[in-house]
Amino acid sequence: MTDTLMQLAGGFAAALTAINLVWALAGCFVGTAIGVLPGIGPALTVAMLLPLTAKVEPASALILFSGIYYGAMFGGSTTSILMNTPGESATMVTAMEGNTMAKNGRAGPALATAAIGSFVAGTIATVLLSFVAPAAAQFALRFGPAEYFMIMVLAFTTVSAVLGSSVVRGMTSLFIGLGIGLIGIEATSGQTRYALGIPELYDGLDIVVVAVGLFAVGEALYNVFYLQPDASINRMSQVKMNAQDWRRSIPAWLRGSALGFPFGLIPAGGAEIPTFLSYATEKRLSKHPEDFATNGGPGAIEGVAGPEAANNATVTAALAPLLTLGIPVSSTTAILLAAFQNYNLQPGPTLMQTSGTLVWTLIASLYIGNVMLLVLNLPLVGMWVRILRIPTPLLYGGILIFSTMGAYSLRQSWFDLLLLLIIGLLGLGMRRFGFPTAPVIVGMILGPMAEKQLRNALSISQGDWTVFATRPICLVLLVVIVCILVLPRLLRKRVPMAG
Amino acid sequence: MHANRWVGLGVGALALFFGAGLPFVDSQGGYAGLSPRFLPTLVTIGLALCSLVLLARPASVQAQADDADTMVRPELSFHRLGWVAGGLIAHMIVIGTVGFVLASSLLMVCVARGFGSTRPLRDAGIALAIAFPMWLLFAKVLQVSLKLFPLAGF
Repeated sequence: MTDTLMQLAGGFAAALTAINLVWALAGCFVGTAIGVLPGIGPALTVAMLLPLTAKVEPASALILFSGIYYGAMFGGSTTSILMNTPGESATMVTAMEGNTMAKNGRAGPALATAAIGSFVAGTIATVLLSFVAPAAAQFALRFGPAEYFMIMVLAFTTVSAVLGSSVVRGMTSLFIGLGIGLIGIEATSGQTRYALGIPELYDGLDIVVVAVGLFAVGEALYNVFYLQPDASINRMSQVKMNAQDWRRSIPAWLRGSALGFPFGLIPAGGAEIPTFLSYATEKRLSKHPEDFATNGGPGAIEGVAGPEAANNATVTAALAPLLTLGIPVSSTTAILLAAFQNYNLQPGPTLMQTSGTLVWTLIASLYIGNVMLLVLNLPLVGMWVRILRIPTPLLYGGILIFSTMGAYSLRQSWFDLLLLLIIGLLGLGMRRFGFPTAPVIVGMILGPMAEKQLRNALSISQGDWTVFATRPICLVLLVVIVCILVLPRLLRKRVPMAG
Repeated sequence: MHANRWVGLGVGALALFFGAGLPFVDSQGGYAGLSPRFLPTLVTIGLALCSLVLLARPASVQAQADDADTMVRPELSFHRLGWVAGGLIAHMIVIGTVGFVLASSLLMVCVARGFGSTRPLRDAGIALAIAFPMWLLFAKVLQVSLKLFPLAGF
């Protein structure tokens, strides 16, 4: 413990030099900016900046990349809340709940709880990263394909059972998402499925096109097709969080952090699963479930606070397996691994011994980056909220310019714009008939991963399906899944009986 | 016909689409005993079951109460939808020749018209003010290959 604190102090001494502070600020600023833009993620940005490693000191470059990695998560929540355009798939829940709050005049508290929640979760996760990362990463090594598959089934169960006005609607959305995920070349066999002979579909549909199409384009088409009173589209907002907002946010931040951190340690699809699980948890535990957007309410602040905290805790924790085991658990950490290798550094169990100072400088820079991001983002809440004063025609015009730019920048193909429109029309229909859109995204992202893990698990067990009930972690997950499916029904039956 | 029936039929059509593709997917199981056809089959069955439930639900009084939101008939405007969807189609058609900035201006004018604006020149000006810096950011800073005016070759 004392050793850890000494090493952390040494890390702070190195990270607090003027040049490293400038790199951290640049990283946070660039990260926030790219988080706002749909289609440009932190992985792409860090990849584009990799050549910097040839000219910049290792500590400075890694501090810059970490700032981008972190800042992108902060930036993504801003446009999700204000414009319903999630720049990253992990901010979809924020778009769902936060944008409903914004429409009901509470954009300020939504932005504030997202920013403070990200800070709280980022700080908690960095502390955990400092003290428990090596042991936690070792535990994660016990996870095999069977465990990963069960985690994904847990995610499917949660999103389809919790989101939407009925389970059948949630399940329909999930199957549509799984179906979209089938399009393209299958990873294990290399076989093309449902591409209809169209070369652009061989790589599958890009998540940005589907997410932006369902959320932003679908919303614009819905609002123009079904005449909405202006006030319900665009209401000027309360800027600050009140006492009740704080009371509801604090436990959600803590629960989100606790939920997100373990998911960062394992390669289970990035921050999507913990954000959705956090949303489901908050909805179940809330004293005001009627406030949630998925229940037709005006938006519940804990539905933004929890998932945002879970997102940031996951992102921070993902650095643990990278630094301690050399295993990247997300695309951005994979590129960070490349950055390490450019400096002839091999992340893994020996990195702490060979380059301890560098690792502790990086961890210290995470604390500093967290404070910088809060200082950058919180004062801007008032300014961001003013975006809602923009007249509706120009606001939706701007949203669609952003959306089309995000889709077109992927491969400069008109075909992606066509897909954006088709998926937007699907989103319009889903909104009209009360189908939740989030399970589509979850099914699309996790479907191919779940299929791969299922196949790997069955290959290892030589086709024995009992592996999903006999391995201890699988069994625990199975019990949780059964509880999610059965308990609400049992409780519902008990309430009338008690009445 | 009840709205749910139309939705049920739509979901059934999707099940048919995925079902029709099954014969074109390999059914060899390999070591795992699980072929690339497994998940498509699951999706087909899942969508077909959801379709049946959606078709059957209007018969249930509780289901009608659950689906009360879908019974509301809001005022529709195909004219306004046409402006926005038309703007997206026009943008898709012209972006390869006039570039992102000008295509975005056209999109903004159409979308704003759909949402009730009657000042196309102002809308186009604002679109240029948004789209040009965005193009600079993507093309010059982030090095995404986007031409300003492809027709003229730059």
